[in-house]
Order: sequence, then structure tokens, then C-alpha cells
Amino acid sequence: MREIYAIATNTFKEAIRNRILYFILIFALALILLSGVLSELTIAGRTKIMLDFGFTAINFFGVAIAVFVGVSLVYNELEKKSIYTIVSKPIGRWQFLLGKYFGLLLTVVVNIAVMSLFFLWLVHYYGVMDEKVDAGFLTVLTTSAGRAVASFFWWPAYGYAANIMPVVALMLVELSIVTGFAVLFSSFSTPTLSMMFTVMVFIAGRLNEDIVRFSVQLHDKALVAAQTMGTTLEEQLSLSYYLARVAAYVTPNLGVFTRSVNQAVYENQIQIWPWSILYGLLYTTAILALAIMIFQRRNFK
Amino acid sequence: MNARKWTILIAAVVFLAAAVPVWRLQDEQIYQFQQRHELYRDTLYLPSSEYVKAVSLGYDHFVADYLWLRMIQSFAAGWSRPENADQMMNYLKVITDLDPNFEEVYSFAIMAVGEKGDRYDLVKEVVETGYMNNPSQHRTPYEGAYHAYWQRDDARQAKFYIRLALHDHQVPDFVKRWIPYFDAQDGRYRAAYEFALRNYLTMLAQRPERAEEDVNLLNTRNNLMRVVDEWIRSVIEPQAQAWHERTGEWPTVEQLDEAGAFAGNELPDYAMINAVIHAIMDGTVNSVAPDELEALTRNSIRTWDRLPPSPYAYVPPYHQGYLIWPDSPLESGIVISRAEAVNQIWHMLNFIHEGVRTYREQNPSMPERLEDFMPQFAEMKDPFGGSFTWDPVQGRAATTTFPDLKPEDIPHLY
Repeated sequence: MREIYAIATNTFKEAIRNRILYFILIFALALILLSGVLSELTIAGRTKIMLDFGFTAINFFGVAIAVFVGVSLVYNELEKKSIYTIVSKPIGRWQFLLGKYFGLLLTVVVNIAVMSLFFLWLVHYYGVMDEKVDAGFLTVLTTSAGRAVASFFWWPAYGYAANIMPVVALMLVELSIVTGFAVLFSSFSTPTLSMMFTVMVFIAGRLNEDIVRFSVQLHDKALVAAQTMGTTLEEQLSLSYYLARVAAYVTPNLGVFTRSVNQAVYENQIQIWPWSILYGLLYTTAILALAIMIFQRRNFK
Repeated sequence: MNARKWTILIAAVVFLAAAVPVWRLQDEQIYQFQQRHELYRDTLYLPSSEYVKAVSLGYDHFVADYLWLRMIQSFAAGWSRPENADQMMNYLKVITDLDPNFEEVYSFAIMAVGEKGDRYDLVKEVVETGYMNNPSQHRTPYEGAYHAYWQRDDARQAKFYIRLALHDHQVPDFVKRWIPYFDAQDGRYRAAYEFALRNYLTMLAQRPERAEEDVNLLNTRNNLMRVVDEWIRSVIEPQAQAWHERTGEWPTVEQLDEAGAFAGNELPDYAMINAVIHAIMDGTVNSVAPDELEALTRNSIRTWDRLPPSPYAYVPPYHQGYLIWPDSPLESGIVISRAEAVNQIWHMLNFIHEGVRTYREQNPSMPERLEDFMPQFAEMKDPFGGSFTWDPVQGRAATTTFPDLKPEDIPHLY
């Protein structure tokens, strides 16, 4: 455990020195701030727009951090030959990889925390403005900052912002899967390819339910054809159907974690699939196990 | 002059030769640009929502919000153009496929394609889409009903939409009151009465102790009384018209009643209902079971030999019963309850006093005669047949029927 911890903290320290991280963070904060400005442009649904933009910014830039920082994690060690120093010590390859993963995840979590705090502050800023119409700018600023911190640590502290942190928590589960994929691809591929693969998995994961829908459509079509032509269903099922089924089972269903956004915006309470967190954790574990298997067999020459 | 200087000179000449006409052309372009009256063109190509949904990668709300802001701009820039309604529908389809619960979009679309675009067919499409996507929300069908009735005078469609809105268990009470209102407008008095009665008694049984202070309860009771009142008036009016055609004279309601014009009509017995209401309010009856409610509703409608009493029998005696008012400026017909008639007189007197204020802004002294500032009232008869009078000394308008009408005499009907 100590080895994993040491590598994770080093990875985190290394990651926060990466300038690209700050660029991403600045973009994210700008988009969150923009959500407040844009919400002023609408004639209705101000809070909804603010929440939607905020959640999107946190999620999208969280994925960007996982991808941009994650894909070069292992590659850089190989490129700089520093991997030889590490593997020559009594550290297993699996420990190295897990350390890298948790270091990256910590980076993502810290960044998400910063974005969430900023987002909470913005939501509370407008909330306080609505509540205390006559309050001065400084009062609104400090009150909203205080409320943001309270909401961050004690989610139900303020009713109108109570749904934000649960959604962010579910996003973190989604990001743990994406981070797992980034580390997996990084363990055997170049940064460019890893980035492409991770982004593609993310897209496929987001479209997982559409893939299922597509396979059902193909199945129904085959069923009709079988009935019309008097053949068996298996004879009519196309290769596309089997490919779609395989893709549906292999790709992560990331929609499970984003569904809560709708509930946060429209409903008072977030009701999630009770197994979603366990599903996310098990999926990540499987991906990491796969990454370890590949990395164990990898030739560093 | 050496070669270098020649080069500079030639370059300067060429520059001037080119720059002067360029300046002139630039000036022309700026002038043309300023003269050009540009129409806003929505250049956003909206593909099918299926594709938009696929490329939004789960950030459906974000994309829907972006398109929503675009929709508002597009509408504002070109709402008077006929094709705007179709473009609004395109936006609606894409946005609501991405975010089906985005109710503001349906409301906005109803306004854009209905009120501004004058496309009732599209309003129906919007309401249907909104209802299918949010069957337990009342807002879209409610706004559809509002449009159908107030913009299209389509009480039947409006009632249908209100029925859809009632699927929302948290629908405000005032929305329920629209059902009997629309039924009565459509001439379906029995249906209107039955709904209004059930609605009021059900509400009353839940909170009888608050009957006199709960605004919702009071309004729901007024709703019931109004329906009964309209039903009775709908029976009087054709009889009065027929009498007038026969004799050339307008009868009084009492004359019609004496002549047996109302015999055999099925009308509600509001006195009976009133007794039940008071029994519930007093606690004599604790609740009305559904089958009792049905029986009460059925039995409270009976065949009359003479005109039944007005539902406004609780107000002072001179307010009871009905009047025929041939000069009525109201759109609701020529029959008016006495209670409503007193109300109308009060409004008219207030209107005259407003007229005095306007007159005094332009003239230093009080008007001498009613004709000087409100000529339309000089010849008009009030519903009781009295004339409007004006006292310049006291600065007070009145009618010969009510020379001293006070606010406390005015029945608060609705």
C-alpha cells in the first residue's frame, strides 16, 4: 500500500505541475461563470440553465483532465526512462500502475472539487441575490461563499443547492471509469492513440443505451423477416446485431451516471439506480485488472 | 534624381493612384451598408433531433439550453415573418427531444406559433407533444387551454386541455374551476353544474372550518353559483326574446313567470344545495360520501313550475331574482341577476366619476350636466329601468333606482 501511496502522491504532484491542467481548469471556471451570465439572457428557466451549464462544465472538463493528463502518464515514464529506476526497486508493476491510477484520480477529484465549489458559489450567489434584494455586493459575495462551503461539506444544507453534490459524486464515479480507461490505454500505447481510444470509449459509453436500442431494432427487423420468410430468427440476425450486442455489453453504460442531472434540475430528490455506484467501482476494477495484465507482460525496451 | 528616388516616387504615385479610388469605393460600400435594411436570417441548420441527440453525447440539457437561447433570439428577430412559426416548431422538436421536461419551451412555443404566428394547428401539436412528454404536469395543457379559449374562442378544445391538465395531482384549484366555466360557455350547463358542485363539496368536506376565509373555497363556491346563475339566465333569455317578438315589448321576468314560461324546465335547486353546504360548514354533516354526492347532484336538479330562486338569495332582498335589460352593454346577453345588476350600476357610477376626474383636468369647474362629459349615460337606462343622474353641487353620480348606493350595498359575487 505504501508503494502505491508514494507513486500516487508523486503522480499527483507531477500532474499539478502540468500547465495543461490549469488551462483546462480556467476554461471550466469560465464556462461555469458563463452559466450565470447566460442565465440572465433567458426569459425563463434561469436556474435550469445555470445548473445545466455548470454540470456540463464540471463533467466535460473532468473528462478532459482525465484524458489529457492520463494518456501520457505511463508513456512519459518510458520516454524519460524513469520507469527503469522505479521497477528496479521493490515495487511491483501492478503497484506502479495502481499508483498512477490513484494519482490521476486524485488530480481529477481535486479539480472537480475546485469546480464544484466555484459552481456552488455561483448558485448561492444568485440564490442570495434573490433572497436579499437590498444586500450589498460584499454581503452577497461573502454570504454565498459561506453557503457554498457549507453545501460542499453538508450537501442538504441549503434546499435549492442540495442536489448539486450528489450529481457531482455520481460524475466522479463516471470519471473513475474514464480515468481507468486512460490508464489502460496509456499502459500499452502512445499518448495520441491513448487519447483517441479513451475518447472513443467515452463516446461509446455515453451512447451505450443507443447501441442497445439499435440492437433491439435489428432484432425486431430480423424477427419480422423470419416470420415473413418462414425461417428461424438466428438465420435472419445480421452480423451488425451481434456486433451491437457485444458493444452494448463491453462498453460502460455512462448514461447511468448522467441521468441524475435531469432529476437534479426537475425533481426535488435524486433517485439513482441503487447498484450504479457498485457498477462503476466494479467496472473500474475490471479495467484496472486488464491494464495490470497488459502492463505485466509489457516489454520496456 | 537617382534610381532609388525614382522608385520611391513611382511607388508613391502608384499608392495614390490606387488609394484614392479605394477610399472612394470604401466610402460607397459603407454608404450601401448603412442603407441596407437587413432582415435577420436564422442560419442555424437544425438537423433531425435523433442526430442532435447522438452528437450531444449525453450533454443533452446543455445543447437544449443553447438551442433554447437561440430559439428566443430567432423568435425575437423574426416573429412577424410567416415562416417563423415553422422554425419555432423545428426548435421545439429538437429541444424537447433532448430535454422533454423543459416546460418553458412548450409555453414559449404556444405563444410564438399561436399568438404571434396565428397557427392554431401548431398550437395543438405543441400541447400534444408537451402533454405526451409530461403527462403529469398541468402547465402546457393549461396554457393550451388559455390560448384555445381566449385567442380562438374554442371552449370545447379548451375544456379538453383542462381535462388533460387535471392529470397533474398538484394542479392549482383555479384550473379545476375552468371546466364548468368552459362547459357553461359551450351551453353544457348540466355538465358544468355537476362538476362545479362535486368540486366544491369535495373541497368543502376536506376543510369545512375554513369555508368563510379560504379564498380557494370561496372562489370555488362562486364558481358553482355562477354556473347556476348562467343556467337560469339561459332559460329566461329565449322566453324573453320570444315574448318580444310576439308583442314588440320587453317583458319583466315576473310577467314571464306568471305566464308559465318557465314551467317544465329542469334547473338546479340552489336552496337545497345551500342547506347541504351549511350542514357541512356547521359540522352537522361531516363528509359527503361519493355515492351520496352523486345522489345529491342528481336530486338537486328538478323540474320546476316557476322560476327557481337565484343562487344569490343570500344578498339583501332587492338583489334577488332576475331582470331583463335590453340596453345591456354586456356581452353575456340581456338577462341579468338583480345582484349582478347592482354590481354593474356600481361599476358604471365609478366610471362616471372617473370621467369627472378627466373632465376636471381640462376644465376648472364641475360639469353641469351628464351630457357634458359622459353623453352615453344621459340616455341609458340602468338594469332596473332607472336613469343616471349627476349632481354638480355635490359632484356625485347616481341612478334614480339607487339614489344613495353605498359600497356595503354591493354584493361581492365573484
